[in-house]
Amino acid sequence: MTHEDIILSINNLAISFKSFSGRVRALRGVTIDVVRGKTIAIVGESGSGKSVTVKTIMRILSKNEKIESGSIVFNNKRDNEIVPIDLLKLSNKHMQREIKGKKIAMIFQDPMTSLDPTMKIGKQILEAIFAHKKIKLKAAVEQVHQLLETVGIKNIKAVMNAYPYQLSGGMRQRIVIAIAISCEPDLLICDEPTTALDVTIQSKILDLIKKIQKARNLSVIFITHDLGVVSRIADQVYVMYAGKIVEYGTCNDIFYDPRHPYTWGLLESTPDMAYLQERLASIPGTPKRMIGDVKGDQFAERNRYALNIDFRMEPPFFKVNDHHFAATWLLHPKAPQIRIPESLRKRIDLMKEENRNG
Amino acid sequence: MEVIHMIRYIGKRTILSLITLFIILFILFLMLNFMPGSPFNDTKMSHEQLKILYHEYGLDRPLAERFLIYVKQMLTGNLGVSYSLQTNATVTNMISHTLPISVQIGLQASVVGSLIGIVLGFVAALRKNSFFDSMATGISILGVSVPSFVLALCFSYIFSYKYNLFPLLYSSSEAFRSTILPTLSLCFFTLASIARYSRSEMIEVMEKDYIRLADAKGITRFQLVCRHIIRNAMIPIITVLAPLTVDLMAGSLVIEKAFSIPGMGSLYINAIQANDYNVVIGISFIYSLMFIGTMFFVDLLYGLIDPRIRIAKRGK
Repeated sequence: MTHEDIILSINNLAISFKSFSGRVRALRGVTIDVVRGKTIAIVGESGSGKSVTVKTIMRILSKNEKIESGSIVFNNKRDNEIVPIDLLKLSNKHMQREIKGKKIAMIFQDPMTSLDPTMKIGKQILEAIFAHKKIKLKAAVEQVHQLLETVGIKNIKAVMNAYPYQLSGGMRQRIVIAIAISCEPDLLICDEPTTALDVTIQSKILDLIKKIQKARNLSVIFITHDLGVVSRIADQVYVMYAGKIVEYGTCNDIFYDPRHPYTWGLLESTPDMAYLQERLASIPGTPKRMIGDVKGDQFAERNRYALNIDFRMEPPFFKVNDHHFAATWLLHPKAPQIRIPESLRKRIDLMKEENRNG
Repeated sequence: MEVIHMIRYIGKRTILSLITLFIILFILFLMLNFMPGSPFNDTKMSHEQLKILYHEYGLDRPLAERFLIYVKQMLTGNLGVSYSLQTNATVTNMISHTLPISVQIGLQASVVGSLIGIVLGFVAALRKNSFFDSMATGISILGVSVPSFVLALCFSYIFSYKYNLFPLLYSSSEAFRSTILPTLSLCFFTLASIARYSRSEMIEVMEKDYIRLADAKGITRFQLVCRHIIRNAMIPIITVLAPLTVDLMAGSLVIEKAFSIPGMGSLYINAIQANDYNVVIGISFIYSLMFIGTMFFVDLLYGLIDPRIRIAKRGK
């Protein structure tokens, strides 16, 4: 991929938090490339570091966070010229004035709590517009109207004069989206934007994000733990575990040819109407808290297929094909031939067939 | 629509307040009736003399009748007369002589204390864990734990005795200057508790999702604090501030004694000790009135700040 194609590249980002029990290593060398105009999804369990990654991009982390190493390079397009900026090196002021809201915007997880309860909706959107645009109030109000129309809100006047508590969760998430796209950002970060919504609304909000992404040629980072959502929206998928990327590739790579045992576990534990199992599989155990120095593959303890070496050495990335990589010793030429679990194999075949038919 | 709702709400609240006041009055009457002793505690008085006095003030009648008479009088603005403190002086007169100075000092203390307290707390929250934060915490701990009479003594020693900046005792010829030291000694508790409270409130608000979202819009730190953080942190602060203010306005016995201020606080305590029924009831009544009035005002103020509370009022 050429330099211009990539809008944001996170390189070897390591972050730790001070806590009473020691230094918690939240991110341990995360590398992610976001291609311009594409959607990447970061998936993983709670506590895997997905949110920390995007919050670091937006610089909205708590104060006990420490960036150990790495860079976040944003390739800013200005007058057809690409200017790379390391976001971690920017001053707070510069970040606030030039990047946040203007170049990179964010949609938050819980729409019920992400709007200021004491401010009218119209004013909250206007605030976002005025943060970066010097225009007259009348023109700004006109823009708010257009934005609300874009996000599919009907009675615009009434909504502008309403307070957040007067709107439903789905409506509020639409407002949050309107705020995010108000200054035409290049990159949109969605931090589990549908997790707090019920299923029917989830699907509508997903469609809306997809529509806006297409219409505005936005680049999107989409965080979720719901693989169903990923398959609908993502071009590229990064699977994250314990502060590291463990497997990444295109949507097809991850869904039809997963290689990492953790990805297998995630796929197996996704409920699927087409493939009814007697009992939904789950990954045993919970993610480890990484305090102090860590050794070996962090997933080893929960991994049915763990090899001896997994407990001693962290696996590097092995190449599956040009765009598909996985960090597991199982891909080492000398590793025993362990195949994908049978149940998952069947499921994938079923999915493939479905796709061929429909 | 809004206006009609508002008027209806105010009407409803007024009626409720009146009923509350009536109940308070009745309980006061009942409790004073069960208190040991009488307003006329002179041992030299004979039984006959006491009987005459009781009859003269109507104290020999049954409780219910006395209560009705009192309420009837009260509706005409008559709070009765003092039995023993200043014989036959009207209670309205006694209160109107002592209330203004207490309210003045109380209000001054409350304004100074809450303003400095809020600023202190907010700045401490914005610079959490800095030197300023520790200093502000130190001040609040001192302010809450040092009793006001100690401060009063310190202040009068330093500012009146040593440097002679303010009068040592209250004098009506220098009315305002005499209120400064009492105000200062009185405001410290409010200042300290409001500072602590607003610090923690503000820190809590700063962690909220909507602050993250507002920050992600790219507005300046100043705008974030003014438009979002302070406004949301103010709501609970007002709740604690209101009763504190009423407390201060009712007069502090300790401060009034320390600076010999002819305020309502000392009058109240004296009246209770002397069993001067009408004075006690009169002052308690005024106190309740101020309290209910302030809470009412605060509720209206809430509506202005927090739209969610506005709708709650409209309910049913």
